[in-house]
Amino acid sequence: MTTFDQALSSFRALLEPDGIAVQPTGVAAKVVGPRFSEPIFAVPDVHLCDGKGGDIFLKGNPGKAGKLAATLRAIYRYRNNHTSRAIQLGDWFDIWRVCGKDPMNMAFGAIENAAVFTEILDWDSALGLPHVIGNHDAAFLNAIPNRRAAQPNFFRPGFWVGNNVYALHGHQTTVSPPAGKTFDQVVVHAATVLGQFVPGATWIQQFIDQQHVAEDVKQWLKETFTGQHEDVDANHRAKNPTAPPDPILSGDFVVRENQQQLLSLVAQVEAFPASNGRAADLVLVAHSHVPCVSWSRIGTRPVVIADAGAWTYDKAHLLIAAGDTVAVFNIV
Amino acid sequence: MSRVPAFMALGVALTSVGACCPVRTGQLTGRWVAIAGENGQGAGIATKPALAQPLALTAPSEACFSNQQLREHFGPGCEENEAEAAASPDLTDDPTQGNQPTPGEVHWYCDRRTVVRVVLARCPGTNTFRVRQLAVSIAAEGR
Repeated sequence: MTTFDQALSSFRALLEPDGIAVQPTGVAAKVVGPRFSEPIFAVPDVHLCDGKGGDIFLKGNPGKAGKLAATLRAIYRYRNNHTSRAIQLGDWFDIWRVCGKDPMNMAFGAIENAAVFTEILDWDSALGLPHVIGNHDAAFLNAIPNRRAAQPNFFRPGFWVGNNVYALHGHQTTVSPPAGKTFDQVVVHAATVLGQFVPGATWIQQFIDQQHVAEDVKQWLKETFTGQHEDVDANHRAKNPTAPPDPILSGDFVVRENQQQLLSLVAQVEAFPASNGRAADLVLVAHSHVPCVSWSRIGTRPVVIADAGAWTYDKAHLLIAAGDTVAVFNIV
Repeated sequence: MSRVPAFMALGVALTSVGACCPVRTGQLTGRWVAIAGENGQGAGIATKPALAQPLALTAPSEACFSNQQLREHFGPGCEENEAEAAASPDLTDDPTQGNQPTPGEVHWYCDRRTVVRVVLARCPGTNTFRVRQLAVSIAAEGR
């Protein structure tokens, strides 16, 4: 069993030769017992654009590409020697920004062709990094990047990461349910897309059309998974003054927006046969670009929700979960 | 999917040819080419074509090359290409555990008349690849 400190120490040692440090953000939570038996590395929103002036990942700093490539290489090298898991939490590409504000546009060659991203995409391919599909790269629902074309199963709206961690982008709660319906009344249909859709097997629009649901629910699903989404204001989250329940020990907890709806989605995914009885102790999300930890419940089971932050503008976050701790770090 | 049966060579002749540009001479001698065919695969500088025989490479040819090399010699791929279909989904596998390098990649190149799909196979344990298949479509004028 790898402890959190052991995983962090080993990972830091892999980045030190590149002059890159792994610094705490203060966003962390601790739980009773070694809940995360295999270390997990989660890369949040990256938003690779076309490498030009408007690229919100580079923000005019080509060195940022080297930092992300080094981080992915370090994860690759760690995984060569340690049993561990890795996931990217969506908005890997920013197709919305590059392709005329259409997140479903499949003409994202400008992102794949950006020379400055070659090494990043080399390590993405070498890792076989699984990507949650977000709202800025929703076109991946219909067409994944060419360099990953052999691995359509590595691009999904949601992933189990081991037996007790579930990952999704987190934008699925931002579109209001159809008129006259509550989120709880339609959540199972969103969970069906989360848990059962794989790119390339069919088109997302066709997958939704084949669901046996009312037309207004189909429209809501299409808006949820393929439409544009307003960014959330995540900079003013209230602290959660309530002491967390067992087995959650401690953390700098806030009340994250839509946290109960996120857990409702995960509860539905847990019930699918393909989940094989797995139940989440930890849910990984991104989307907001602001890291945080919060907690809520699925039934009576306490669940930690960890938002891993982003690589946009000046940010460069990485979430690590191992042993009894989940924490978000700055890569500097 | 059938392999390309005959020897094929793809050079930097993929560079865009606009209607205003002078007519381009078909020449591969001295150019970096990726080849795949009955005589095997490779990448490197083409020797002079001779006797309608498979094109040879100047020694040493590179069996495996990086995406950086591919980009330097062939330039950018298509802005858009058709999506690749997937086999039936397997939702019980676990892509998150351990390194699972892509076994291969696909690159698409387009110009006014030509579309090329290049399938690469990973050279084990590296970030380099060899050519597995070249597929070329050249549109007849006016189509």
